[in-house]
Amino acid sequence: MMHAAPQQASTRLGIVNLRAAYGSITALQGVSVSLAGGEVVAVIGPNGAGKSTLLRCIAGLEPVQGGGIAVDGVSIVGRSPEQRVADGLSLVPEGRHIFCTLTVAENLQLGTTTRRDGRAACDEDLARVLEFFPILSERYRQRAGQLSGGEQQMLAIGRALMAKPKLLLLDEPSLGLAPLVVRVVYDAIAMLRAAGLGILVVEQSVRQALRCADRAYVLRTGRVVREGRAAELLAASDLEGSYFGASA
Amino acid sequence: MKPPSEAAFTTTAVLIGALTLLALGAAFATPYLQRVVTEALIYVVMVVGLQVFVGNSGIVSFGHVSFMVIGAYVSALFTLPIEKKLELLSLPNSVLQLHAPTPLAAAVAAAATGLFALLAGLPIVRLRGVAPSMALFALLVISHVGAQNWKAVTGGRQAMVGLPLATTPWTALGCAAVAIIAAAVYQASRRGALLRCARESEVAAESIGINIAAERLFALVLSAMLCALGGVLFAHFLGTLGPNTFYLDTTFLTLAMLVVGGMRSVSGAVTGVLVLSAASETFRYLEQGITVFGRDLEAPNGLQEVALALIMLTILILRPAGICGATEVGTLLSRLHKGRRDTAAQTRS
Amino acid sequence: MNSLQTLVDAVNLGAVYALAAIGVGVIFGVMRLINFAHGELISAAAFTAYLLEGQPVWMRVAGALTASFVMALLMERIAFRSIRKASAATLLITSFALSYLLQHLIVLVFGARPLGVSLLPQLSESVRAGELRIPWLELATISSTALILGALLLFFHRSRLGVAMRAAAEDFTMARLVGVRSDRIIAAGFGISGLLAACIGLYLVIQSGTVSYRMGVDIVLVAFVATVVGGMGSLGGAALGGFLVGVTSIALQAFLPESWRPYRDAFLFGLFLAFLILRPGGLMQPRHRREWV
Repeated sequence: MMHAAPQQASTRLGIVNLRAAYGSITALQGVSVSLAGGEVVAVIGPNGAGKSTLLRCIAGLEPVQGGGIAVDGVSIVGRSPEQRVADGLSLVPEGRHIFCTLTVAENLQLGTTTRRDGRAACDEDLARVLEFFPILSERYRQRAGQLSGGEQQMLAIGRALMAKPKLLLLDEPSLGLAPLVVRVVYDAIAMLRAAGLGILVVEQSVRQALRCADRAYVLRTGRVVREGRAAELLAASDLEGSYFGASA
Repeated sequence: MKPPSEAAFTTTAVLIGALTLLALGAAFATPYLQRVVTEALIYVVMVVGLQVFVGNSGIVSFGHVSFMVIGAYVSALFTLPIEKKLELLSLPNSVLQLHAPTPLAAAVAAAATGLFALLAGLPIVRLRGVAPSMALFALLVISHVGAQNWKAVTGGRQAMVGLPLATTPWTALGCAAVAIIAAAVYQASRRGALLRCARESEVAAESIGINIAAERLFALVLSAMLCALGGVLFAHFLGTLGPNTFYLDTTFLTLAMLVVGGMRSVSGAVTGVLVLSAASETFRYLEQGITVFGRDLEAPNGLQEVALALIMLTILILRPAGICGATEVGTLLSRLHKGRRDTAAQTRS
Repeated sequence: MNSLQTLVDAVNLGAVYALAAIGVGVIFGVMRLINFAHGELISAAAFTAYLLEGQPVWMRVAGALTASFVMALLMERIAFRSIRKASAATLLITSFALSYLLQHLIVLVFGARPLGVSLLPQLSESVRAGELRIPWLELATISSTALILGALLLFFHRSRLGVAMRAAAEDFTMARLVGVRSDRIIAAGFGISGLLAACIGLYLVIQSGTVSYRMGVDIVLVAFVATVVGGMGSLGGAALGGFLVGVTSIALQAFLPESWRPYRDAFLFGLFLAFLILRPGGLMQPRHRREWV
């Protein structure tokens, strides 16, 4: 869809030993995560584990105290959030954050801010996004604030896609949405994976995330305590243990 | 670590001690310097008053000058010679006949202003964001217009002349001491701590049950009373009082002093007054022309204000916390003392 | 007192205040900064027109527009950029200090007394229609403001930069996350603010024939009132607020009993206070205030 052919499974996003702190409180203590094109990686863990901090660091909203973040092998540490969008990262933050006073059309148009490949290419992608999320087509000229929660989530993802990203970061995409809507969102994620996008999903809803993902990392108090293939983690009986710290 | 009240005691003692030395020094100096020191001490009262509210609540107030105005005019009602009052004002005779010695008038003025602040402040302290600052600004404009036009009570644009010159370096020092003690006690108190919680995060403070509006109102009223005292002192220092005695220039100067010294500490307020008073005097002197190595230098008029503004902007951009930041003298001294004790203990062992 | 005359006066003043309010509102939208120094942007234009006296009109106007535009950009770059992340209190005081500095720099260079200046004196003449005497200036102001408002509307709804600015005003962080360059947005906001300030400066020069270091102060106070009344963060609201304040001002002037007229400003600020207390969001509350807690 977005890309002509599925990408090779090479690492597109490499995070090595990331450390982040708020004053004297360490939020991330040496986290390493990798993400390849055409795969969905889930980051799960209890509240306060540092999942959101991880995404915010990748997006450039938080400074990092140590470690590296690289896209396609090129370090992006020190680059501003705007620059990282141009580098191929698109974050859909928790709570969607669509521009309510702007129309759906304007929201989507804003997604192309960093693109340099011309009007025609952007229009093509717009057509594809509208095909992907038909409800946005219906509400194209309406103010985004009038959309329902699920529709807003789709708009947020569509807007992120309009930047033609290599990597999509989703922070709690299912938060506050009805189960049926969550399914639609995850179906969309699956389709995007098929198109070659690398997708990092941070989720509280463990089962849903693990069902959709290829691999997963379990984060607890700023550390990766478990990682592996999602299917294995899903079947693991001691997953709750990792979650809540009963096992080592 | 020392309990907050002990550090506050040290702070108060040091600050009042320093100002006392200043007043003593002035007593042996020229009358001009005495006036300079008196004026500085009056500003201490005003800026410490400002600090009580701005420092603890985090709300920038452009309106505190209105409290100075009200305080000054209320006291003038009692201290202006009766013939002048009959000439200038049009109030019922019984009111015009009221007369009181200046200290009593000052107390009444402070109380009246406190009441005004209580009433006006009730709706203002509930506002969020920049709204309270703008509301206080509106208060300033309204009090200015009132002072200019309410001829019956204030005499209108015509300045009141003939106020008793009751402000001496010692009365100003006394009031400065009162202000510093009040500010330090409030800061060390539980109420002050609660307000500072709200300053850090309104959401968090509310969630633990702090009545933000009430705490702000308390600080506002205390602050207003101190500013009113400052206004009374200033009016009885100049001997005249008009609607333009306190307006935008005073607003700027007192804010500048607070910002440069450090909004969050009483020591900062006092430091700011001393630093900017000294700077102001220096530029005033330069404006009159000096001779350096036989060459006459004269600074152009208006340099003083420009220099003041530049100092304030430099601090805001480079060191927004001000010279003292949030550190009180008492805290600093106790840290040094502890440091010395620790090294002594180390060398002993 | 001819009520049609009063109406035109009211619309004229409303137009001027609307422009002032938008000038202040634009910067508040992108930076959450209330720019006290906006008055000095107005003065910059006016003093440029004064300095270029004797030159052709187009040059004086162009000079005024350029001066305010450049000054606004400099203001942003030098004074406000490094404190962008500071608290609202620091931003407020900084703009206040900057305003004071610029005012007294003007005093340093030009002195404290108002200076006479003549620009397009023909506009002070009036067109007569029966009992009405309407100065050409008022007609020019009303029509120019309408044009400017139209241009702004087109800009904010049809241009990429304009849409990006609206997005940034609603949710600055999210705008950055879609790639909107924060530097560009803020500079654009200041630039627009400067151009609008220049319009007001030119108006004041033509209308009063004088320039002084304090000429911007009164209008800027009104602009704050208007922005609050209209709803901070909403430009349409700012324009509406400015318009209402202008109309109310004239109405108070016309209908207040003689003895109360000097209190007009007190009334205005009393209304402002009431608005702040009763409807702090303003007339046109931006529907969503996105907080990144």
